[in-house]
Amino acid sequence: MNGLIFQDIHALAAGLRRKDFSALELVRAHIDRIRSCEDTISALITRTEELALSRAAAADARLAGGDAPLLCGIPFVLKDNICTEGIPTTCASRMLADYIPPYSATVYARLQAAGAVLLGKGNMDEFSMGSSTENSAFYPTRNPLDISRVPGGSSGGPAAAVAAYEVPFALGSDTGGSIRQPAAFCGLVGMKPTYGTVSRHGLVAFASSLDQIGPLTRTVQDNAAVLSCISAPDGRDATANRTFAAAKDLFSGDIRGISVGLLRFPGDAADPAIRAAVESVAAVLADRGAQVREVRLPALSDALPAYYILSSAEASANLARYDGVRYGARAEGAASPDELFCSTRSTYFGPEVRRRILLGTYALSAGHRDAFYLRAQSAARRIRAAFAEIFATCDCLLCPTTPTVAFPAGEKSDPVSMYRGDLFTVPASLAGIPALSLPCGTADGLPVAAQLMAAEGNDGLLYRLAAAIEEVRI
Amino acid sequence: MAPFDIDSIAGLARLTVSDGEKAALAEDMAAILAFAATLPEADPYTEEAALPLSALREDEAADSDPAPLLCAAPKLREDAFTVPSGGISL
Repeated sequence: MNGLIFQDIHALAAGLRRKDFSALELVRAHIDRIRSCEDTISALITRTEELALSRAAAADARLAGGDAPLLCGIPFVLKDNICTEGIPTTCASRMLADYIPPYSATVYARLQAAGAVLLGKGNMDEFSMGSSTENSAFYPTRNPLDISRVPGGSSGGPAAAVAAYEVPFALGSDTGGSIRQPAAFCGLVGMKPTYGTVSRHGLVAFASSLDQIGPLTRTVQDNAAVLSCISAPDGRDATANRTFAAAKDLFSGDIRGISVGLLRFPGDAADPAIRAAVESVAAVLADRGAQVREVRLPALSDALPAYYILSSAEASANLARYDGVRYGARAEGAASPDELFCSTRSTYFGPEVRRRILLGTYALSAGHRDAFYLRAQSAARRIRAAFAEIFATCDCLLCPTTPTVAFPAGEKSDPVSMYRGDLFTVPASLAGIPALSLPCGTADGLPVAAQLMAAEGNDGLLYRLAAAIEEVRI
Repeated sequence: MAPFDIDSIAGLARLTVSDGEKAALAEDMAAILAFAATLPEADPYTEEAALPLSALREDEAADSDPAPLLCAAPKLREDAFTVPSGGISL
């Protein structure tokens, strides 16, 4: 049964329906894989083996009934900032090390309803703040393709779990690239849907105006299937007002007439091998009938500073709730409420989280709000307008996902150099538009990825183009 | 750019920064703020749409006063709410 772990979701679903193997056998094969990999990769914070076996038995009963959804019996991992009733949800923070949510996130409820089987909770940068999963309070995750390197972040654990064949899919969350960048570093397909396509109910908030949940998979078609399952309007999240459903002809490979802008970034610092790989993607799209032209968006030069101000400002407000009173860890021995707040937050938040809370507090304070927060809001508005203008003449944009391949663990110690790695991913986050990362070659034996972006609501177009690129296997 | 007063901002953020951490943190924050300071001025639309500064309170950390909250408690013991024990299991 070892070969099972290498199959994609659609192949596994077909095998389950042909009764080539049972859901229980499938889950056991993945549990064996997790047991053999985890000492090296450390992709997971919590494993749910017992629960998974009981869910797999239930999935087998449902499959025998003959009308099971596609994901019935398929194992998966959730990033550990997605609430799971009765199962620890730590956000890789000492602050929530013992937190067991009394409710489940909508995305988890939808996957459970589809019969998918949770195998564990994925490691991450603490409260999603980071790009390497080295900011986890527990341990770093390694890249399964080269364990001396990082898997990216903040959804590095879920990405590593899929890349190591521990599960065929995982859900991550993306605030400024936290699905797309680890997908790029681990050779996966990662999707940040249009803001509002997936409910954030039960996602522990980092920056609420930017956070979005999305799938990490090994194929484009699998990615679209998972997004179809988790996407729906949700009364528990007022911003979740869209639905994505994968149309049947999405994977036909027909991209004739679609106009693609090859986006030249201001200050583009991508490695030459990455630029060359993305240009070869543009050539493939042109060969297949897409109309490709170069485009420039000068407004994007402000995206990185605007992102770091806005996300930190929102984080400083969202993380104010961790005060040692309502839930989470509590420091001992405080003599007053204020001492309790300060002592708890200083003891249990890690360095990067504290840095961003300080930055956000500073940017929102009355003396500095105009110089930072309002300027960042203004820049975000200009970026949204620039995208709207370009999408009036162009269906889709193409650029690298990251400026480099996966970097060695411990290499980046100063925050600004880490932040600069998000150059290509933060603009789509600020604009709320869909963006997909997919592998498009290798450099030095490591995966290189291209990013596709489209206008709000055009998530399906990204899958259509990505499927055409995937077919060619650059 | 105004200097980054770590003690004042940490007080607002309800964080304590040890003397040993201050120098490194100040250096990091200066680098981050220099990076952020490259943003151009806000446009008039954003200025107009933003909450007026007069609507914000001063940036001063103040002691918490539990009295207004305690007034709302159905039952008190000393200066704390009395709640049923074992009522919630997670």
